[in-house]
Order: sequence, then C-alpha cells, then structure tokens
Amino acid sequence: MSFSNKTGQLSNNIERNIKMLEEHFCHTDDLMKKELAMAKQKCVILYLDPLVKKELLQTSIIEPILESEFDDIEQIVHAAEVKKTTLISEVGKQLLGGFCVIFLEECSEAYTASVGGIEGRSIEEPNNERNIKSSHDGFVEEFSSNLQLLRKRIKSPYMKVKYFTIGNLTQTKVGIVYLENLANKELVVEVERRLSSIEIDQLYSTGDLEELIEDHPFSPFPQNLATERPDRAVSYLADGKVTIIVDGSPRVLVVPITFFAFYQAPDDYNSRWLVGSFFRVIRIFSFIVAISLPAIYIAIVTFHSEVLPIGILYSIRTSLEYVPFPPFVEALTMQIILELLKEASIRLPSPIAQTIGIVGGLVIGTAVVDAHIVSNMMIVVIGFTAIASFVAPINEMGTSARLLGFPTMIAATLFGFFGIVFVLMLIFIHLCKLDSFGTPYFSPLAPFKKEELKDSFIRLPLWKLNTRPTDAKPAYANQQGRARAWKRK
Amino acid sequence: MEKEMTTNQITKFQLFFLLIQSQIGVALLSLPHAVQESAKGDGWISTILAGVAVQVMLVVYWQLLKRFPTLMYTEITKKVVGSFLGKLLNVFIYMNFMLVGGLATILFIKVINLWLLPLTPGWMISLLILTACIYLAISDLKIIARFFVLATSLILILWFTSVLSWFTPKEFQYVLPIGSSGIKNILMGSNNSLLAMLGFEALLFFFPFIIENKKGVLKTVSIANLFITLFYTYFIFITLISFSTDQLTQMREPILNLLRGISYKMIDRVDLIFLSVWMVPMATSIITYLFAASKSLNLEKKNHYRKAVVLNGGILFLITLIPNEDTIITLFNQYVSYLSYVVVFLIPSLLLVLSILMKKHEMSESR
Repeated sequence: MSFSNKTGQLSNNIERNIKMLEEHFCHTDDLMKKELAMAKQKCVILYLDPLVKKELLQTSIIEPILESEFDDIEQIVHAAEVKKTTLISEVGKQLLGGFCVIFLEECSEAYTASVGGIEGRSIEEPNNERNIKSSHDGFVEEFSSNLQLLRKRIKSPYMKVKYFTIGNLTQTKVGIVYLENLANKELVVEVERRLSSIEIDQLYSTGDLEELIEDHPFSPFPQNLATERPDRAVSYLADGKVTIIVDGSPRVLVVPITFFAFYQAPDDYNSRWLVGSFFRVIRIFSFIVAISLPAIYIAIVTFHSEVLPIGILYSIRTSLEYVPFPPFVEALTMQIILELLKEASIRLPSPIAQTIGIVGGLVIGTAVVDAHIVSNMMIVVIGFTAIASFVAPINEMGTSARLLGFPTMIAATLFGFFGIVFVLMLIFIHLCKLDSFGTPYFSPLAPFKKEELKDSFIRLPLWKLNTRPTDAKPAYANQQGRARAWKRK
Repeated sequence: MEKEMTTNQITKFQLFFLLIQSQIGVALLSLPHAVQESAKGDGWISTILAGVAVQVMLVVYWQLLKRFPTLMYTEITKKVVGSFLGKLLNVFIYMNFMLVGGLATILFIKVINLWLLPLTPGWMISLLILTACIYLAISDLKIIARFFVLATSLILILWFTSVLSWFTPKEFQYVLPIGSSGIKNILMGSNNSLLAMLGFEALLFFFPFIIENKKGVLKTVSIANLFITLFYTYFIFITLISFSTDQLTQMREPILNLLRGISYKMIDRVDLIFLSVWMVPMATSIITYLFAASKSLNLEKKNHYRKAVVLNGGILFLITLIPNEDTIITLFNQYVSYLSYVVVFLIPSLLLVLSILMKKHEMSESR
C-alpha cells in the first residue's frame, strides 16, 4: 500500500521529471543517472544499479543513442522490449522490473527499455527429491528459468501462462501454468479467484502461497504438492492440473492433488512396471507403518500381550525387564532423540553432520539400551518407523505421517487396540472429508474409482494407461491410441 | 444451497456399500448365539428366511419410494397421512433410530469391555466411539458413502480371517438332520436374525440422494441384501458346525470364540485382532442411525442438521449411560425391537397401502 498512491504525471521539464523519479524512490543511492547527448536533444538514462546488466545497457542503449542520427528512441534502442509511459508510478514499476528509463528533453513521455538480467543459480538436481533414473534437472529461483523448463518439455501452443502480482510490498510475480485445451475451466477459474483475492504485504515463497490457497488449513495433510522436479510438474500438467510458479522459489505448486500422488515418484515410470508397482505398494505400506507401528507395539506390550505367542512374548519381556519406564515414555524419548538428531544434522555442513550421526546413532543408540532407559525392542520399532516415515518421495507427507504417529501412540497407551482403531478411524474419516480444489483428496479409494487404480496404488504398463487420471476432471480423458500398434500386424 | 444438493449425491455403487455397512455391525458377533436359542442347528435356515423377509420389505420400500422419489421417509409420512399424524409418526421414527443407535452403542461397549478393555469405564469408550461417529455423521452423505466404501475392504479382510478357521475341527453332525427344530422354532430364529439385519431401513433416507437414474436401485439393494444374507448364513453355518448347541448357549460372541481357536507362530489371539478391525463396521452402523435420526428431524438448513447430529450424539451418549447389566439390556432390546418392527415394517407398508388407495404420489398436493 506504500507507494501506489504516488501517481504523478510526467511533464515537459526533464529536470522536474528526474526529481520526481528520485523522490519516488526516496533518493536511494542505487538509482543511477547518466546524461547523454543524442543527435539533437539531451537525454537522461536512469536505472537501478543492481537490477540491470551493465554490458547490455552499454551495447543496446548507450552506444546506439550516442551514434544515432535521428530522434526516434524506439528505433534506435536495441532492447527486446521498449515501452512508453507518462505515469511516474509506471516508470517506477518498470525500473523495479529491471528496465532502464530514458527521459528526453521537452518530452512528457518516458521510454523504458529492458536491460535486466539477474544472475540466478544454475539448474541442478533438486536435493530433496533425488531420483535415480529420471531426468536430473530441477527448478531454480528464477521465474523464467522455471517456465523454460516446463516449456521445454511441453511444446504445445495450448500451454498457457497467466501472471499475477501478489504482495503489496514484495510485488512477487506468480504465474499459473496449464494446458488450455485440457485443464478443467472451473478449476482454472477457481485457482485464479483464490490467487487474485489474496491481500498481503509480503509473499516470499511457495510455502506462504500454499497456506493462503489450501482448502483445509487445519489439516495435518499437505493439500498442494510442491515439487522441485520439472518432469513431475509436467506430468501433472498433462493430467489437466494447474501448476503455480512463484518467483524466487524453486518449489512449484501443483493443484489439485490427491493423497496418493505424494507416494509416487517419477522413477516409477522409468522402471519396469512390476518394479514400479512394487515400490508404490511398499510406500503405501510405509505410511501405515509410520502412523501405527509404535502404537501397535505399545498396545501389545501394555494391554494385549496375549496376542503374541509365548516365544515372542518372552523375548520382548526380557528386553523390557530392567527398563523402569512405561513403553510410551520409552517411545516418546526415542522419537524425540530421533527428531533432535535430524534437526541438528539437517543444516550443518556434511562433515559435522556425519559426526552427529555417529554420536547420535552409535553412542546414544547403544548407550541408551545399556543404561536401561529404552529397551532393545523399542529401538527396533522406532528405527523401523523412522525409516518408514522417510520413504515418502515428497518429504512433507512423511513428516505428516510421523506427526500423526504421536496421537496414535497416546491413544494406544490409554486404550490399547481400541484407541489405535479410534485414531485411525478419525484419520481416515478426515482423509475422506478432505478435498483439494474440489477434488476428493483420498481418491481413487474414497470415492472408489476402479479405473483410477491402474495408476495410483500400482502402475500398470504404459500402454494400458489409455485414459488420464480423472481427479482434475480434464476436458478429455483419452491420452493415447494403440501405443503398441506394431504388435497387431 | 441448490448447488449443495446437487453435489451431495451418491451413486448406486455407493448405495450398495452404504447398506452393507449399515446392516453389518455388532449383531453379527452374537448372532449364532441368538439364533440357536430357538432354531438350534437350523439357525442358518432362519437367516435365509430373514433375508427373504427383508427382500419383501425392500420391494415394499421400492414401491413406496418410486412414488416419492425426492422425499425422505419422514417427509413421505407427512405427505401421505397429513401434517399432524405425519409428525406423530415421525416422533416414533426418530425415537426408533435413536434407540436402535443407542442399543448398538451399548452392545459395542459391552463387547469391548468383555474382550479388549475389561477395566476401562464404559462411558469413556462410549465417548470415543461417539466422537468418531459424530465426526463422520456431520458431513455430507457422499462423504459418509466414501468412508463406508473404504471400510468395506475391512469386511473382506474379516471374511479372509474366517477362512483361517476352516482348519479347526468341524462336525457336520451338529446341523443334521436339517429341519429338525421345527418350523416354529426356525421362524423364531428368523426373528432374531431379522434384528441383526436391521439397517436396511436407512434406504428410506438414502433414496432421495441417489444420483439421477433411479431405475436400477431395486437391483442394487437386492444384491446388497443377497450379499448380507449369504454373509450371515455363512458365518452362522461355520459357527454351527464348529460348536455344539450346548457350547453355543454358553458363548456370548461365538464368532470371536471361533477365531480364538486359531493360533500361529506370530499371532496367538486372532480374535482380538478381528475384534479391533470389526470396530469399524460396528461404528458405521451407529453412524447410519445417527444420520437417519438427525435427518428424520426434517431440518432445512445444513447448519441445523450439523447441530442436530451433535445433539443426537449427546443423547446417544446419555442412553449409553444406562447400567450395563444383562437384564436391563435384554429388556431394552425387547422394547426397541417392538418399536423397530413398527417403524421398519408396519409404517412403510401402511404408507404404501394408503398412498395407493388415495392415489397419492409426489406431485399431488399435501394437505
């Protein structure tokens, strides 16, 4: 809200124009000014020093002006984009976008020319979504690079981009990308409606935007998929979904999304379909383990030891023999140690992180058992759970699952199996209730769609996937003809 | 509001599972015990007969609902017998669903207390069950349907568990000679299994929500009924050939006892695992009753419906505070079953006859 009210018209007086612009930018020191003599007139170039490329300014603006013999700025200047404006606020906006402004003597119009060029990070494989067999490029912070990564993969004139500017202060560029002929119209309208209704001063990252547009902010489950992988984003575009790119953030949002998408990885499609299906089933299994295994162990040890046959029960009992704490305290201690280790090592440089791993894993792990604080069995259970929770290809879901393990553990401590079933029921009811931009979140299980199972739980061979997933309600479902037509000869 | 109505619809596929989940519940566990009291070894015939009776009622419902395709049970009563009498009938209908729901919860708590948590107070268990039930029942029917479809996969797991029990000793002599208990006793047994099959009356509330084409609904509900009848008959049969009549008399939940006999290297008490999983189908029945009871109040606004669900959940909780003694529960069970016969069998039949005689259908004006 701060500077949008400074709307002033430019005048014929060049000195006054420059002064107005300087005032517009509160006399900042990085607003550079260069006076040039053109064929007949005097002209002044202004630009924000950090936002322009000096060489570009030199070769495409300054040199042509100095060498010019006539007056038409628009023809002299070599920049890709040249605009004319009479409003000081418009000039200010352009300068912030990496343009330079050219004022002419005795002229009430200002020319702006693009000479921007902010050096960005080079494209590299995203660290938190590594894959073995899929492509190794990832989104970066810069908007246009991200868009380029998408365009490179879908060379279709139907791929449409719409720009939004969100944040009164940050003026963050946000773009939605979708396939005009495929994406559901209502979905696109809904995404546009949500984006354009945001009133906020600063929008820094995709995470902020995610919270602003999701349907159920109090749910523990992520309802937009944020990915750093272009191949992944593109595959969703081809399902008729909408991707949202936020300038300055390497994570691209995909809406709407279903629960099972979080347990799929691009590698599934680059393995043989049996292998891919196997891994998907393993991942779903990991979700169930992550939310319920410690709870089941606690319930068995505290309430229903009769479930286990005497042999196993005996070995568990001996490991519990000298531990003075109830199983819940044991489990909680181990979980907290684990989380602390993870948090401690996550931001450290890798040599120190390794030290933490050794101290945490070897020293604490064995010492805790030797000191009879936690039983051996509990270490096994918690270790297994932790591994299971890290299996999810999208990290957020794994963390959610780990978090949901705590209420299940508490319920198991208080009510045994009954408590576990109670909490699991609540979780699954919640999953049935959730929706993401009008799409049922737990589809294709709830509501049950037999057709969709082919590419969610498991992955059937590519030539069997004749129709797209329908959760984004794409305009047409068919996605291939006879993919193995050679076979029919 | 308009939009909500159109989006809040269920498919016939979902209807099938809604009915299955509404009908299969806590009663299955004790069904063989209840049926054999009169029908002895012919209990499985009783269940089939009960299935036939349910089928007859489903046809009656179908005829009635066809005349009023967008109305619920409690709206039809008002339409057919007039506003005042209709409201009176609706009070009975509401009470029936609340009491049956309460009874289902009480039996649920009893089973949990007996098998899983002997020392935990009943009200605590009741509170948890009802919390989960309310949480689902306040949502739209389509969301309830989604969950019920999901929960049906558990029934398949349970069926698989029962397959494990095939390998325990069996004695076919127990059911022979077929028909030896006499027709009267078999019919008495049918009465008991009919009570276990209650829940199909929820169709009277689901019907207006079924998506557009209602033609195949009778087929869907018939298949659901067939499935449940076979499911029950199968379980009763397998129990009857596993235990003698004397044994069954002493068992409260024969199905659980049946699974207790199985033991493996990894798991010793399959019955406890079974019961834990079975909690979900037991809860879904309560959810259906909660849904039907709250819908029967004929509330226009969605918000009011939600409040009604929470309120009715509170009332159910109060009902479950009734002392947990066998004599009281048996008595309660008896009265509720009389009420159920009236609400489930008598009133719909009367409504059908009246609407045919008075040539009433949905388009005709109500008095």
